[in-house]
Amino acid sequence: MAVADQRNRGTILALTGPAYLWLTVTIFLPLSAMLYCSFLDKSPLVPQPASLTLKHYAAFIERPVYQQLMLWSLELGAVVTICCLIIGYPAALALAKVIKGRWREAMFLMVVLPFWSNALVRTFSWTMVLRPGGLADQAIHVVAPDAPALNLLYSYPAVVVGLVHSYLPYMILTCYISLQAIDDSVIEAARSLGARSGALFRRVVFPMSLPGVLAGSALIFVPAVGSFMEPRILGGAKGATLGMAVEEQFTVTANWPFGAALSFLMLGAVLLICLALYPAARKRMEGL
Amino acid sequence: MSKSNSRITRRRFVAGAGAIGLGAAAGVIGAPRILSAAGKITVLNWQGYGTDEAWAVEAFKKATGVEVVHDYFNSEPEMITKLRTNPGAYDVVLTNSAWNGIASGEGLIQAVDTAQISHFDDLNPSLRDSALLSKDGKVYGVSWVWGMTAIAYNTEKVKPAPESVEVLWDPKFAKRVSVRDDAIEAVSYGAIATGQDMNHPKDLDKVKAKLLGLKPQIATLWSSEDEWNKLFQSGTFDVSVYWSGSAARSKTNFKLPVGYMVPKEGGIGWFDGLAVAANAPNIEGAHKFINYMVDPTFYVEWATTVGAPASANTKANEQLPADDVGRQIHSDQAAIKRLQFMAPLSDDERQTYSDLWTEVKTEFAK
Amino acid sequence: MSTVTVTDAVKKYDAVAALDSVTMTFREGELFGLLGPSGSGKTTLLRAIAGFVSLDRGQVLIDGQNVGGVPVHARNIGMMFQNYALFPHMSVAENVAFGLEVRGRPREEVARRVNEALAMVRLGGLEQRKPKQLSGGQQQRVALARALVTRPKVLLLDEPLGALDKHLRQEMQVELRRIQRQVGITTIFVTHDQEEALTLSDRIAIFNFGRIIQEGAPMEVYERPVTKFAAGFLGEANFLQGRVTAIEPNGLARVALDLGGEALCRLIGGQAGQTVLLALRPEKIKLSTDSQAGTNAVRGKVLDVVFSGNSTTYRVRVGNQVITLFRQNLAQGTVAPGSEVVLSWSPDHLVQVTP
Repeated sequence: MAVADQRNRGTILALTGPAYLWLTVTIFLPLSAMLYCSFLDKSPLVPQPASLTLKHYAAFIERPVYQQLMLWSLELGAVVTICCLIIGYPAALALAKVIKGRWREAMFLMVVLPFWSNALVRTFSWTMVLRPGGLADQAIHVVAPDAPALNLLYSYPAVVVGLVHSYLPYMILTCYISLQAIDDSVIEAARSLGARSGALFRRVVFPMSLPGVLAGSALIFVPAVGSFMEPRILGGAKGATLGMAVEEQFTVTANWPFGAALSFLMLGAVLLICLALYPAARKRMEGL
Repeated sequence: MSKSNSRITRRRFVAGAGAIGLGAAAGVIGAPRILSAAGKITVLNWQGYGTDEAWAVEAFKKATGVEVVHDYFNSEPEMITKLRTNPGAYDVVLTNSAWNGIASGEGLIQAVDTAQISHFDDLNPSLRDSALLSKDGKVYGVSWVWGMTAIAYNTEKVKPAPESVEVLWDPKFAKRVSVRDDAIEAVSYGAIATGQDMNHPKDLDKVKAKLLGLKPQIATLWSSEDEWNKLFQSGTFDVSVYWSGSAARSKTNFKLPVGYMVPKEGGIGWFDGLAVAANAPNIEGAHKFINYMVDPTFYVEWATTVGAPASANTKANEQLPADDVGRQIHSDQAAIKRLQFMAPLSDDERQTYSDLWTEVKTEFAK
Repeated sequence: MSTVTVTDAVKKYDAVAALDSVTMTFREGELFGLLGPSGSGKTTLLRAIAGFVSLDRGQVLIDGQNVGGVPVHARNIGMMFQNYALFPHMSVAENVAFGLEVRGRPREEVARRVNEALAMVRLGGLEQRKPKQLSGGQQQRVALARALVTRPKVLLLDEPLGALDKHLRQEMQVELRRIQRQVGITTIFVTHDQEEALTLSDRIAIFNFGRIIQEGAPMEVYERPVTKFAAGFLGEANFLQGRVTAIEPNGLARVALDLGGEALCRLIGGQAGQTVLLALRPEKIKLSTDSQAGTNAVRGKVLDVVFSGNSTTYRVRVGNQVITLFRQNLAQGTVAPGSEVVLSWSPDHLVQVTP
């Protein structure tokens, strides 16, 4: 028995080892280096020796502009996640329970289509749609020729549109997986007990699909919070985020420690949010 | 008995094959280094900025036998970082006038032997002898090209031609203005518009207030020549801050109705110098290359076929065709007199300007 | 306590008729078993009564009301699924309370009725557990309690004992009957297991190809099958083909058996010269080593012997056919394979079936 256990452990190590080694080298070590860097008072690539300091973290507390940017970034992440949920969940529901056969495959292809395109190209093509005289403007004027010119570009809604377009597939796919795992007989049982569609959804389908919803939310919230490319291209002067400030520290001022500190403060904020939501989420998913 | 023998033989074979393979790989990797130390230089520059033109590199190799290899940077801090972390890897480095002093101060570049630069006397004296490119009386950068960052406008929409920097704040052009998303450039124009020294303005609060006044004016911010062209062509803005060489290109290559002017209050001037890296493996080759770069034959070809900023070599500029837009813009002596040239900034100044610009942008977004 | 009437029910899937004009009545309070092989239409009928399947033709009436357009949630039925279909994210109590809560019953009433339901299925004390923490048998009781707590008009069970092991199945059979009697609800269940159908039902119906082959009390259907399929599906049967040679004055018919020998049996409207198919159940055949062949007695040779505890199964070659018979274990020892034996039976045990 002991020999079998040992061999088992060896097999487990052999199978998971490479993955953990990769994660350690490519994620854990660089992040640790950056964390250390955030406590230095000078960029680590400068010849002069550096000493440890908390001044970069203090700068965040002392200067309201960075707190404002962090708040906006978190807000943007939340808005994008909620929009993806509102649009993506019904789509996933339709895919999982209503659409069958060939149509389902075709719809799947359309859902993952954004993944096939380059993120930058996608974002720029939205500028062509949203600007005055762009595709959206032309379309509206075909239907309502007297409507005022549509100028959605360089605005907050444009940023949300671009980000939702990029991240929607994650929500659809995770919700789809959760929803199609719900046995049809459970839904039938609920109906046989007298549940109409409203109660059926509220009390059975949605709670059972919660793991998919949470997974999709996590996959969307975290990158959306750190985004700075789409806000920049689609939001123009309105697209100010904490990611924008971090990028400046690395490209303009060469103040790597400050950039690192801002990044880790953002990471900390996201972790706090996740920790706050964890107990409630865990309770809801008991038994699933 | 035979089974164990064959197992050992197989293992030995695999090990032997591996060793041979490794050795071959090492040989292949090692060989070029040994061969080409004599006739090769490594150039560190922006990508697509003249030194890596395929025809130029080939012509240079034919003439001198020296092969040119490139490495690129995407920002000036990155250029400094690469010099710091790779001593002995580079021969020629492009240094902006505002950064040459920083590089020479850290000992990252060495003095240029101007005797090896045959065109040295043809260079424009105000650039050639500029204090920004020298240290302790020695030349640390050969001035190569120069340009202006001033006002570019749509000649069809903006009539009559503007003359003052206040055109950026003109309510007639509300939401029709664009500036570059660059902290230094923004602070510089804020300083110019408030009558201060653009490199070290004394009253930063005034600069910030002036920049905040752009909020109703800004359509969007641009950050690359390509983006500027797309925005201009789609009619997103009418007035902007833009580079002179790029404006010339837009007019010539894309036939856009671009007008260019240096405001009467002043404009930003900049120039680039080619430097020799400290510990450069091929100092002779480096000097040969720099000389070729300021040669009129290279410059005229570059400016007319691809598009370039103005040359520091006055003779080279004169060899451009008379109707060349770039030549016209860069020959305006009166305009040149109004320019303030970019100077080195300390890390603290850079950080302060960046923080200021971040605060201004945050206000724009509210 | 409700009656359910199905009239001329037809349901087609593409060209295949899952229900091919089925008409039947389920009486108040009875425990009715629908039996048949896969695809015979029994499950389709159950689901049509529940409302998950809409009929192409025909009607379903519950208490005389046509429930044709009535959606599932309004039919007031209780259903138990083969895999129990418990709500995994809810506790046992919440599962059982579900039907009452969606009907808006007040909280105290819900709590009281949930307790009663759980007590009835003998699961008190497990209210807070989640389904994944229960055994198969416990999950089934929860499903039953959940279906019954709303006091539905009809209880529908889809293969209720299929997922259980032998002992649990026997235990649940007793429990199911007890609870059904206690509540008195009209119950219809579907099974492909003939033993389950026999032990649980007040009445059964045998299905094949979307039609009812035979319906009636289990004993009636068992002893007097109408077709070869019914005889073979419910229990085991030997089929003896033969030709009527004569009709006796007392009404019995003489049949010359194809496997040799002669049988004397009761036929309905039998005529001389007619070909008949007779079913004979294995437990009704006597095996003897020292009898004579004769009418209703044939000679054969034992092929193999299988001892199964309370009985022994013999396969005997008679003529060109192999006859199977069960012999009750009275500790009389077994007859060895290869022995010559005589098989005999009573004329009452020969049942004429249509092929």
